[in-house]
Amino acid sequence: MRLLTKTNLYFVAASLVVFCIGGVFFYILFQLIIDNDLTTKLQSRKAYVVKQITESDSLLLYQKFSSNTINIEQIAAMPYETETVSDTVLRDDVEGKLIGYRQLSFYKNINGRNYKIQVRRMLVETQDLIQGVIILEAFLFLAFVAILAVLNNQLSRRIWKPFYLILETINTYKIDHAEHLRFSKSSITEFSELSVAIEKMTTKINKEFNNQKEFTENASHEIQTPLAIIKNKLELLLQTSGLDKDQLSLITAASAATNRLSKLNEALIILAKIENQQFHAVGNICVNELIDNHLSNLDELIKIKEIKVRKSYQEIIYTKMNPFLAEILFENLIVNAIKHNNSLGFISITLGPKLLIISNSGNNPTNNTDKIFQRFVKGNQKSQSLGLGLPIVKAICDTYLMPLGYRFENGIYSIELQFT
Amino acid sequence: MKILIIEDERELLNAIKEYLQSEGYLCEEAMDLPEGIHKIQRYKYDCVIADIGLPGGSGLKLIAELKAQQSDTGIIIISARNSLDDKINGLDLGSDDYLTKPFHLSELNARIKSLLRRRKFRGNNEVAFKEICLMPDTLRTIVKGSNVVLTKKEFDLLLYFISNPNKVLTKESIVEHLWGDYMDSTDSFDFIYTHVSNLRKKLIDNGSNDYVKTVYGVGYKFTAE
Repeated sequence: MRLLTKTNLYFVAASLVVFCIGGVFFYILFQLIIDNDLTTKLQSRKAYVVKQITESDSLLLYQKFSSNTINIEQIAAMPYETETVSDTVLRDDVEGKLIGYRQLSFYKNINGRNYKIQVRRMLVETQDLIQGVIILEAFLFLAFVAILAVLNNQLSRRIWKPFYLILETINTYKIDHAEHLRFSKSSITEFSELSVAIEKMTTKINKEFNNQKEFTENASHEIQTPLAIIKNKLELLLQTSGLDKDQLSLITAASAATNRLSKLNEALIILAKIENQQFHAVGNICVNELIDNHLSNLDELIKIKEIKVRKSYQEIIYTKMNPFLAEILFENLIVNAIKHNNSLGFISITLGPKLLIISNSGNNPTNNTDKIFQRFVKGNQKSQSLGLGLPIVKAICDTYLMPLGYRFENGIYSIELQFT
Repeated sequence: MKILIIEDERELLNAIKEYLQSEGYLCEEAMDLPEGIHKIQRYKYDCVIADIGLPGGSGLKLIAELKAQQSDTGIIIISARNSLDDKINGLDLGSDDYLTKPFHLSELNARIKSLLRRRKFRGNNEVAFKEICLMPDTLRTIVKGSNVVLTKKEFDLLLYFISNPNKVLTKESIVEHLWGDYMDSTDSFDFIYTHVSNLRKKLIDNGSNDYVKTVYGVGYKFTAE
């Protein structure tokens, strides 16, 4: 939900409360005004009637004159009270409905005669009043909401424009791109503060990222060089004459460990680079072709283990990827299927619509297969592998948002990869 | 054959130098870029081996310098950075080969020999060891005048052996030379054994002496001794 919509909902809710309370006040106020008005009107009518009686005797011919709005009666003696205001209900002559009236009763001696006079005015019905108020309120409320909606539309277009620009810039921001974020100036303090803060933050992140990147590169460089020295010195040592079996096996063991260390280092560097998204170039990769290439490269390995390869290509799949990463991805998947296979086992490769499934036979895993994509987790702890092949696969798939699944069922390992 | 090694790491430089000298090359050294440039301007080398990360600048600058001289000196770039960009950059600029640290000295030696063959003999070349003669362009192998049919891998293996005569070659270095990084050592040792014994058999059957000596637990040595 947009911020404006959210605030508006609160506005509307609050105004609904205000309008309700306002309605009650309106009602009371109207009532008061109408009352006041009635009283004034009745008073002026009283004066008029008195004047008429005084000036014209014709009225005096009647002992009694009565209608719904006026009632004049001659009485014998003047009572003590002189003037009362009260509400009464009378039947309407024409329609026969009961109608509320306010009446002013007073007693007056005019030209020597005592009169009881009642003047009345029809009351506005409460129901009508409430109805009127509600209609008015509803109209006002609708007008308010309509104006709010129009205003918001304009606001979000104009005032919030810089904010959406900032958002767009941040969305397209790539941490490993050298250029810094730049925002256009905004006249709104909050937004200009926000853009300054983001500029500062990204500059700092960029700097840190570059430091980190440099550190990774440098660390790898620094580690590879001593490794190269160890490896080369061991090689020279091997060439010296007169080595006995024990010495040879010491050198071989040291050399194997050095190799392993250097491969580990390389794998970790690749992993770091993938996770830092340092592979930009994108090519159109034919998955079928790439898999076939790797299979033929690995042919000897497959033959020596007497593994049967079953291919079922239902589709020719093209995907947009970095070519180097694509090489690593499919190589790792196939090498993995060969390495963790039994001799006389099988590998089955299925390419369906946007889908690759590589299954292979293998020994039951000694470790939990749920963690197979974590670094240094091996299906079988005794295995010589680095435990970085599948984490690299995972990292590449994550980079391209390709869903990756892993299963072990009835002695068959399956990796399923979906192309997007 | 004269080789210039430009590498800022003293011990690595020494190791490379020692191995190459034992192969009979005349080696000179430089430890930074200005010294390297100075030397290639003054003297003529058959091959230059240069690190990328050098004090005073990138070793890739040497490629441009050699190009400017229109020299036929071969150049091999060695780098600790296995980044594809560097590799492509280096090869694009005209480096003949690219090796990532850490490498096997035997591999470097094989690359130098292959480079020199391509440069000096314009590819029309033969590699000979006693009665064995290899023609890398046509992948032909001739022993005492008769043709021996070898598979591609066996041919590569033999060429690698002959490029490093009298040297102990570890199984790891052979695996890496033949299959690159594909293989993890343990499995692949078995088929090195297969390839080596097939090669041996074919050579002996065609009248060659057995030059392949097994160095127990380590690897092999190709020697006439």
